[in-house]
Amino acid sequence: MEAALSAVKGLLPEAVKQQLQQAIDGGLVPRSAAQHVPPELLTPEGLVVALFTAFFGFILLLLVLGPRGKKRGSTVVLTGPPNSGKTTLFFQLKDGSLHNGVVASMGDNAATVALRPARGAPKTAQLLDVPGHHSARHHLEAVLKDAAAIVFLVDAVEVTPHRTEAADMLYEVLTHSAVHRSRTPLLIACNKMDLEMEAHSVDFIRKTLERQLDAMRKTRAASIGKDAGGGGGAALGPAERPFSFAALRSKVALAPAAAKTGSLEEVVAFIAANV
Amino acid sequence: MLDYFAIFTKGGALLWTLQFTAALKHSPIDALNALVRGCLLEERASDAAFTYQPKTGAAQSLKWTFHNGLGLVFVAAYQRTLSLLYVDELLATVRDAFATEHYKPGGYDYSAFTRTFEATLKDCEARSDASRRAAAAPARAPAGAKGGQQRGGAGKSGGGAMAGAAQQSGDADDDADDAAAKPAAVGNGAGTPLGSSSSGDEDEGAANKSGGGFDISKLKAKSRKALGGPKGRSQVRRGTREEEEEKKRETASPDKKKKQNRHWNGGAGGGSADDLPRLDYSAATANGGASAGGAPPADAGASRMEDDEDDGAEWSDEEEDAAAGAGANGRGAGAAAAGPAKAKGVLGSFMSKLALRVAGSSALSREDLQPALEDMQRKLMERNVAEEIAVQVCESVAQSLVGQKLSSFTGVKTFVLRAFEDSLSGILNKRAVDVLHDVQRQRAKGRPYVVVFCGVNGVGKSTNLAKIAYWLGQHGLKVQLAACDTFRAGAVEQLKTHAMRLGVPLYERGYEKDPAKVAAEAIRVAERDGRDVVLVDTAGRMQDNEPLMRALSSLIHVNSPNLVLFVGEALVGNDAVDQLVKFNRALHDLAPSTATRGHMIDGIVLTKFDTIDDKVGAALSMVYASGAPVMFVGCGQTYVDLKKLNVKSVVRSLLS
Repeated sequence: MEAALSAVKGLLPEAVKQQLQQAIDGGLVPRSAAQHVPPELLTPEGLVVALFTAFFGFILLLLVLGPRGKKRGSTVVLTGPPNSGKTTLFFQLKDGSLHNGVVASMGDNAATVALRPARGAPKTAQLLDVPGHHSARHHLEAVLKDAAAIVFLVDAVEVTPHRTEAADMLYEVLTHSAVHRSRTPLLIACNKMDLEMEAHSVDFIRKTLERQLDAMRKTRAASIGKDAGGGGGAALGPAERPFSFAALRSKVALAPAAAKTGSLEEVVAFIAANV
Repeated sequence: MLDYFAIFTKGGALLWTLQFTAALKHSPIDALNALVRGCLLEERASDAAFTYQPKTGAAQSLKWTFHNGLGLVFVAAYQRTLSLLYVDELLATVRDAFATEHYKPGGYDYSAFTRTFEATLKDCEARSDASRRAAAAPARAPAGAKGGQQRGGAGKSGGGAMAGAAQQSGDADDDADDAAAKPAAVGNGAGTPLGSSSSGDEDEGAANKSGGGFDISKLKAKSRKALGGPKGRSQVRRGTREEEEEKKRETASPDKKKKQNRHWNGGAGGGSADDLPRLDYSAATANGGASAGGAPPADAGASRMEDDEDDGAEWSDEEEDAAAGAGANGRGAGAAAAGPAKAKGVLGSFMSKLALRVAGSSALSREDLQPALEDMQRKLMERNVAEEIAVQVCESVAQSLVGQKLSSFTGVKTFVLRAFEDSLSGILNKRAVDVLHDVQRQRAKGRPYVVVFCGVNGVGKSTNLAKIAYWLGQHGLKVQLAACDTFRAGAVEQLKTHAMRLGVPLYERGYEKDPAKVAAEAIRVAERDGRDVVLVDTAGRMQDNEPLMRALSSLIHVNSPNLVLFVGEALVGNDAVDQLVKFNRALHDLAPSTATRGHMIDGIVLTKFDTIDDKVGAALSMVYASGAPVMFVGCGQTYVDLKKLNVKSVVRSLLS
């Protein structure tokens, strides 16, 4: 408080400086502290300079740290269980080609991508492809904070054997506090629709996931150590009715996709609409 | 012969592949995926090789190296039965050639690289052939000369290991060259007894055996001696080809099992001198170098040494560049940093460090990281992480950091700390089993959900079984207990008390019964009574007690439970690894029939968590050693004291 006062006084001319000098001499600044301070700082000018430096330093620090607490980020996060085609989708959107093929990702892929939706003007979007492996879960949690939209990929061919895995991950995404709070729009892209004979329909996938999430919601709510978990997961839709995507606060849609062949109209439209 | 070679980005885009055999029964992509998911993402990059077992066909070995600056991964795959000595060298050479000459950001067409690769491969093969021939020659020499010459061969394989070390860690050479007194001393300490004992063995072997053959028992003894750790392993693996073949002919047991043996015994039963410098590549290098120096100079050995020097020179060149760049950036350091890197004074090194911190432009070398890594390793061990786990995790993180660039205003320490945060939460974040959900599904089938609790003595199996019974009962499930601890006096009575307090039925047949039969009867009774869950309590057993482990294995394989929980106390230190590995192995190896083999530990119950303050390392050790998630944490004396593991807080406690 006194320091702030003296800073204000420092702006005033000579008479005030003398007062400050008196304050320093008179013991307002403790002797012990004064011993550790270089003598030139103990003149009024020195004090003022020091305070100004501290002030500008603080401003600079604020600038470096950047603005915080934006409502929703700017990146479109591609996520989903392993082997659902995230990286393929990423490269298809980025370059329109798969190059030499893909293997399991160990790290993120990020790029700014130009989109040409069927309707509307071309847009650019920042894409972030996050590995689906469970060891990247904490990372996913971090990036979801800045997500403008989420594309959740599901393997339409292998829905049934991997439904627990997919639903598990979807549950985590949907109950993520930031996603829940800012109602981040989410598209469940049913990938691999190019395999027409083997791929399940979008409707079937919706039902499978809804049923799975319904069961999961009950057991998760009953799970141990909720208070100790610290995850801060939000509730998933109204509990009294069977779970359905339509009842969620955030906008959830399902769409067919075929990342391999590049027929991604609905995914592109979704991303373009949400950036 | 290599099967294939692949270069891909960490993001997962393949850049360049070359397949040598058309007769592969699986897609290389499957093997690469398995490598990434099963090994690299599980922070097991410090392992020497990864074995991929395709559904049909022979097992494959995959070796890899990273270029962290560009975020590239290089993988070579070959039949596991072959022992290719040049793979590490090839990987490093290819990595450097690709990164310096061919890599274009955003480029995906590297067809021009094929020619460079083939030339490199031919070169490596020729060199490995030459060294093999040179190593094979002494074996045919008369017995009198054999001891010494064999030692030469061993020296050369040590040299090979040195090349491997250089390639794997990036700049082990640097360590050897620059780090002055300490590593050399360690190298002597670790190397001399090993070297002398093994040569002694060989002399004996030469004396014992009349023909030109090779004494296998001695070899085995030697290899057992050399177990120390990653270094020791690779040295053994790199033994000359004859040795390998002899061994294979002699021992029919699969290679994999042997590797595991080495792996885990290193900490518990391994040597005392070997433990310390396990990570210290420079020590091994010094060791190899020393013995190579004493060996008769063979052309192959010499050429390898030369190669290493080249490697070293390249690295120090880079270092100079880095220093010079740093000098330019951090005004005023110019004079000091412009001189040769070796002649840098105290001021110079300080300034370059400062410049590194401020400019954040140069790639990190192993040396830059070493202090921070050692710090981390010490911290982890202080938090009760088993030593070998701490070492492996640190090595894995180091491998993922060498060559990366610091962003500005980030110190090396912060950078390493962040990497550890990521990697530790990666290890601890497992796909948890949703017990309640699985119970519901099992109930739909009309069968009880069977959970078996196992663990060593006195860790709290019965207590936590009771807590879990209480928790399940809270959620409207009908629980039944089965007293299959027919061994310890009072065990049945203890469980009876719990059953009474919880109001759940207990199935017991007293003592002196076969626990497997008791469990089977209990499950039958539970099915008849329409129970949802059967919790099977077993006797505590030490992991080395084979008859008891056999009994457990038979219990599990007779009753095929839905969930096998390992109960371990959070107080455990280095023993955690041994327990889990041996339990898992017993379940796998001692199974009565091969058909049901493979039911391993599904989850971990971590008990006495309230007694350890911030020494939460056991959680990490157990998860890393078994690959199973911590499903329940017991943290008190009452029935409600059961929690989930909070990964974030564990990571925080580990690193704070």
